[in-house]
Amino acid sequence: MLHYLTDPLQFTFMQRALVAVVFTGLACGVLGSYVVLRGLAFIGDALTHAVFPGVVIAFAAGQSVLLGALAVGLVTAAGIAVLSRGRRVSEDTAIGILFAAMFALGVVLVSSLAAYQKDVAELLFGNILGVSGTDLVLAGAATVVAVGAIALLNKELALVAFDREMAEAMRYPVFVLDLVLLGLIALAIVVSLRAIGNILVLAMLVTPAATARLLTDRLVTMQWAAAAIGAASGIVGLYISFWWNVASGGAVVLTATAVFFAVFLAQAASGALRPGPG
Amino acid sequence: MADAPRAVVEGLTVAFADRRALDDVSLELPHGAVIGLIGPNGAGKTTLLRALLGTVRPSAGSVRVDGTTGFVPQIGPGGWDLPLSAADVALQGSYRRTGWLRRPPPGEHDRARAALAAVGMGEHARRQVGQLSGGQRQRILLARALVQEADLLLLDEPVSGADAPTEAAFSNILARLRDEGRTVVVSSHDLAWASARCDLVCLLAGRVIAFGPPAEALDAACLARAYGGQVVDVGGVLVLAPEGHHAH
Repeated sequence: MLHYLTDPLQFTFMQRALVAVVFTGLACGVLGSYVVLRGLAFIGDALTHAVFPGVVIAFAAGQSVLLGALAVGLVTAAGIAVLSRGRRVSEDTAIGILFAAMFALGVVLVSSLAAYQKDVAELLFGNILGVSGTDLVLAGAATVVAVGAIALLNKELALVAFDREMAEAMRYPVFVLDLVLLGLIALAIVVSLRAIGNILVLAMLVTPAATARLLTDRLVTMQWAAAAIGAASGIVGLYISFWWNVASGGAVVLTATAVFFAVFLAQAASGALRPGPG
Repeated sequence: MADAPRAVVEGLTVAFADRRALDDVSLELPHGAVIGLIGPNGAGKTTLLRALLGTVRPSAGSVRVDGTTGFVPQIGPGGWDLPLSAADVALQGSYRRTGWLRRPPPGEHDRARAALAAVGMGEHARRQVGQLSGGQRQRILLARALVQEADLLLLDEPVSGADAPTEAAFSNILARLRDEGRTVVVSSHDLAWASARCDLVCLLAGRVIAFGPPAEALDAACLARAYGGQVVDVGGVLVLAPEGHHAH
């Protein structure tokens, strides 16, 4: 039995892939807690799509796609924050405009680069076989920055999430904190790009955090639980992907989803399901 | 008690895109007083509180506050489903003293506990805030404001629709803060509450109609000017007639 666990580890690509999904679970779990608590799923979705042109450009230029995604993701995060600051464009509208436009730009770029069209699937769905040493170093650094920043700014970010008006009254730079949070979400997306792919990252931001929220009423506990669930889903999903020869991103996301429904149904069955927010 | 006022509002005008919320408001708020901010809907009560807080920019005029400012918001924030306990929320009042990148020290946790006890929420400190009733939530927000230890405390409609223990907790604590020399400004629809509990009343209807002790500021002539024809004398007690703002 044990060889099911150890055999895949003989392959370098599998070792790297495992490290990559653990980074993904950590970064997405911690940042995803704020995505879930603040209802930012739409923004998260927008950011994941918006990084696409950055990925395409970096890929065509032979650079790390993570660097390209990072640059474009941070610019888009700032754009969403600035556009939605004024009253004339609602946040949803600002996101809708930017997210579709950025993705369209990526599509146009890919279509103009005939030589790369066969790589579109890899760009959109990730390629666990293609995780390079550079990718791992970048993903690790981004994870440290994202998780570290949350650890340092947790009390301010939680205050803004709970009571924006009070945060403003206490003279906190609420807009800057929003911008930082969006930037950190972009960072978590970048971490996940290689292993999970552009389209499915959103699930890693939302599903483990939503599962963790079902399990605890403490913020920090929720963040750690989300990180643990995300990382564990990544490892389990990767083994499933290896042995059944299915796409790694999809396997990881479906594992996380299965965990969510297992917890949800167990609580419903035991009658412990809390009533919704009043 | 110092001679200089706690806050000075001079010629304050706040205009939004579609309307003028405040017009040439001038007030001096003394130390050690509970001040009621009374007026009909749209009178600019919340706008005046926000101007004192500094979150609304004056179109003209100025607001000067001597000391720190604390705040209890109106309906309260939207994030009650967040995984935070009552103690976590009370502790938020200490964040500015604690500073960036640091956790509140044990002394601040003690302050938060004491504040929760003062509003009668001591035994609920560890409960998730979403599980608390409306009145309990208002008391948590008051506890947070107490932890701020502000010189000027602004409360937006804290007693409207409050249950009896909540109303009592607010009134007792406001009186205590007044006795400590702090200045408390409370916006309210409740004329009876303002008459009974406030040292001074500012009657507001876009501009200041009257400012003084309740007996003067809430007399029939002033109320008629602020509310139009809505004030009715019922057995010597002035109440608001239409629009559902019945005084009880």
